[in-house]
Amino acid sequence: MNTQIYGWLVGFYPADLRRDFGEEMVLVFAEELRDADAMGKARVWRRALGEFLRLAPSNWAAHPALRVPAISLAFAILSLATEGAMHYITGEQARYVFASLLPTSAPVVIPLTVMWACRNRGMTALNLADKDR
Amino acid sequence: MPQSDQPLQPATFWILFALATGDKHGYAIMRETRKLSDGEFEMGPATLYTSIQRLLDSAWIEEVSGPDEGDRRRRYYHLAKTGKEALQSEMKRMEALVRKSKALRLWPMESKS
Repeated sequence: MNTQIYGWLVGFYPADLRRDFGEEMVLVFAEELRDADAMGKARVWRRALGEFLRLAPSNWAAHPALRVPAISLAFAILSLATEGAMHYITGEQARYVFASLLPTSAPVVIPLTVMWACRNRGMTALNLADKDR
Repeated sequence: MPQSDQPLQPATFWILFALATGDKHGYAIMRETRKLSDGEFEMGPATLYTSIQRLLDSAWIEEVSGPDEGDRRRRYYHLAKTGKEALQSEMKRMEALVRKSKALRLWPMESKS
């Protein structure tokens, strides 16, 4: 599951990096998780998300079709992080994180994603990678 | 890619340093950099492969064949002559810096209490 999510994130990196090293990036990420303990896994994810936010945006500007899902994704990550922090501080049930994610992010994420889907029918981040080949 | 008289980016330096100890695949480079830096420097897959991509383009490192029994998805990298020169140049720069700071009695730093 972790590797699948990371593989999906790799789809947002620049095309040449995905094409030449995408598979190896996922492989290395999986190996890092395999060798890490619970705290280490959290660190691996934090670093991966930090890199994603630092390196992937250069690709979003180059591909207009990726801008809207990228903004949606950023809102989703922000919501998750906020709710995760609230969960950590208040000690609420874990399901609170996911339950409250919907009302906080849905008004932004759903319209933007629908708009994007209408404008770019059938084109997703991952098949865009294939298109670039 | 930085000029030879400019300091190397941390990821570039540590990748070259890791490969100076022998040919390695991506994950082995990550582990070696962590070991060589005593855990002070860590990078994720995106930083690693963005740097490897630049180093390959500049011919500072090159792809070599790995062991036959290894995972076929893995690629192995070797420190090329130009990369070795860049690494040596960076180490000379660091050595000169330490020498100069010692001459100015700035090193070792005295802790203020």
